[in-house]
Amino acid sequence: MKRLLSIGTICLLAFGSLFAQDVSFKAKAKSVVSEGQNFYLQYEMNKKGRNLQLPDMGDFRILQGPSQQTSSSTRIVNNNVTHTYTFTYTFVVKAPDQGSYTIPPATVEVEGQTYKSNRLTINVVKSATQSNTQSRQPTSRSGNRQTTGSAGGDPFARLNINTSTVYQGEPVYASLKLYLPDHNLAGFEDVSFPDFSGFWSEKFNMPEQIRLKTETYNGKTYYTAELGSWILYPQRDGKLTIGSGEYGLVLRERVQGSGSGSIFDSFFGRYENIRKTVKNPEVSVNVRPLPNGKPGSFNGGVGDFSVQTALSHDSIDVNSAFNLSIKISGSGNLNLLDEPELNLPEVFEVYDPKVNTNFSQTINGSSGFIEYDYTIIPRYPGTHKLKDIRLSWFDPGAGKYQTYRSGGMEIFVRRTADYEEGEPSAQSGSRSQVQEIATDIRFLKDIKIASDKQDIYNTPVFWLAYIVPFVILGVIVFLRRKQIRARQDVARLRNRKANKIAMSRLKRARKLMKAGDNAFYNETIKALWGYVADKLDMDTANLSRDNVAEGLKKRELSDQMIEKLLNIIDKCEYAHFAPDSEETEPSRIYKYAISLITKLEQKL
Amino acid sequence: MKRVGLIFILSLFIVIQAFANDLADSARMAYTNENYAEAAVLYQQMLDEKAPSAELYYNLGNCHYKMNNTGPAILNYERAARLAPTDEDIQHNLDVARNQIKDDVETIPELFFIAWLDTFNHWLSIGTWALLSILFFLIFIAFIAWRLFRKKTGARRALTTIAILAFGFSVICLLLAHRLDKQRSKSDEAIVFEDGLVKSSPSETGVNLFEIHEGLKVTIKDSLNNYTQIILANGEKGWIKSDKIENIAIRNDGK
Repeated sequence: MKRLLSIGTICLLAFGSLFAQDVSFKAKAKSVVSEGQNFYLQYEMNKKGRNLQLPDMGDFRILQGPSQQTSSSTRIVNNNVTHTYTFTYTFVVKAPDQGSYTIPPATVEVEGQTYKSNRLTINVVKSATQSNTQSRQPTSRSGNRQTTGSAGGDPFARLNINTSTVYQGEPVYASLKLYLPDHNLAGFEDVSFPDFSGFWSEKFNMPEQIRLKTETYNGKTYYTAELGSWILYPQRDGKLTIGSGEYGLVLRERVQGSGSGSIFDSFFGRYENIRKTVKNPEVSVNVRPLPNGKPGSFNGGVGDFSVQTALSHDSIDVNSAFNLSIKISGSGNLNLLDEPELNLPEVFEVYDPKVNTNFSQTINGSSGFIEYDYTIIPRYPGTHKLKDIRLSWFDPGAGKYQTYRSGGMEIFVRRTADYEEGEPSAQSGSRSQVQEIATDIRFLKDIKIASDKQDIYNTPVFWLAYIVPFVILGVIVFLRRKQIRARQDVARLRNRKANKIAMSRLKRARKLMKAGDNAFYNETIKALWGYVADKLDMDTANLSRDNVAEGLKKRELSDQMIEKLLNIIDKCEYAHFAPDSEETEPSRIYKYAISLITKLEQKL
Repeated sequence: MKRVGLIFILSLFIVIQAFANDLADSARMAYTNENYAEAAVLYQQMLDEKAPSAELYYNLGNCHYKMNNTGPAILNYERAARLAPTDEDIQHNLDVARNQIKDDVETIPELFFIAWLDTFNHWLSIGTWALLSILFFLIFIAFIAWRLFRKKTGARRALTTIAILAFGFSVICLLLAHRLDKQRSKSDEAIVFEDGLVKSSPSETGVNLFEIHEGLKVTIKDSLNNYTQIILANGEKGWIKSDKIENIAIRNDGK
């Protein structure tokens, strides 16, 4: 019975311990922080906890928190389902003055049980913010401590490039090195690498563990560490500047107490972690543009390349696939090449190429090969010539463009039993367009018997064709001018004589009046009409009441006068048919006509 | 006597025609029998004897193409294209022949409005543009003259407008004819006849800059001591021996 009980206890204990192991509760924080720095303090557990009890934080001040965060993930590997659940409390804590501190365990309740976290040890180091801008200038130190042993000065960083003048697209090897006067690197904080704008950058070597080597620079021996190296491909020409990056270093430095240190202190010295930020100076690269005379088939390549083209078959059945491979090997900007252009006749159906790449970054750029593998299906039987495949690149070593020419490759496409002439092949059943099978020159033209005719342009006849009409126009203008002048003369003469003629007519009318002849009226009308016609330079036959009124109006004669003139003419005409009325008495009309003409003579 | 002379001239004309047709037929026969060298000689003979024609140059170009003489083929096609800029067959064969050129020179494409102007310009021949220009000029003269005999201001204004427009069209047509004429007789373009080295200076000792191959079109800039300075389409300059290139301009002796 006793035994059974003990077994049960063991089982229970084991189970309990198993269960207990299931819950983990960890405190996390940076182990090295600088004075006054804000940092995260996190408590992480794999179950949801509650009632977190923080220990006495001592000199640390909690600025923010706790904030809670949960994350969970499920993974299935070989039918084993693994759930991961993380529950985190996060605090933002401000570090006190320098020294070594311990944060005691915190407690948390998970499913009714209380768990304890681990103890944290945090080293607070002196901040070196005042000395971080100029990496190579001696640092001014405040406080009553002085560093010893570091005769070599301050640490600094340099970005070394293997060449400072390159062609656009030519690779540059850049390596970022840290130079330390002492072997005292304890670790890194915030590292930001330079910004390679203007370049296409490929990582060359990014070491995970920093190993220090010794190197002599400017006559001094330094411990150096390569932080990283890149292959840079300039994407444009001109002076490209690589900015500086910032590297936060934690250095262990030996300090000496100034006054009453213990014997051990003065003998062994005391080590302290110091944070220091260094920057590398800017580096510029002169990028030359590619020279003029780019061949048409230039694909952006800059480097030392060789090209091979190969057909997988010399002959093939119609509608079966063969491969055309274009392999570019060498070193340069292989990773940045454009796909070559294939201009195959319509006989071939060309699919997008399969691109095999096998290159690695070296100091000379991407080195290896890139292969374009085209799958091509011929749709017509016969011997087909593939157009010359050309590829050009710039060889910076030789300073000129190189062109690869495949030469005319030929493939014989066999007719198969099931091939039908003119069959639109594997394409959809719709009618296909006429497809070009090959290109050749067109046939001879018929020779027309040259009529030996010369173009009229620039012949004497041509220019005469302009000159003659122009001269004719000149003659016409001359004659027309003369005609107009002559007519004007006539008009002037008529105008001048108008009064005389009218008066002599009226004189005749007076004679008729005295003789009591009815022709008096007719003569008066003639005198008036004739006068107006002469003055207006009009044909007597064309005279009418309307155009006379219009013509006189144009000569700025008042409407009243025109009315009078027309009135007297009306009266004369009326008198023709009904004489002997008071109104149409010849002597009155005669007087009236005389006075009217005298008035008109003044105006016209 | 007069009549006899006329008959004589007529019969001579017929004989020449028959002779020409004969040559053309035998050249064609030689060509179809793949006897290209013979056909080329015959076409060349016809060119030497008669006025140059686009068809003759085209056929001669075909013969050279078939004999794989890229340079002469392109030269003759270019000359044919000068005489018949719109001929589609000539352009096609010229394009095909240009594919044989070993040099891969990137040409700077023409500005779109220049290309557009060229298309429009080639729409009519020089003679047609010239005749159109004269026609518009006559319209201009006629309307100006008509205007002299009209008194109404409205009519006169309309006639003046038409006359000015006609004059404008006349000038434009004249300019287009002039432009075509200049293009046709352009004498600064040459075709590389034979592969050759381009040197930095016009002498045997000049540094070899690059090599150009037959069929390439170059622009002639200058010439000195049997050397000609050329510019490639991509702007590269240099001197080449004058006998390696042949001017596209058609010389009066028919060559």
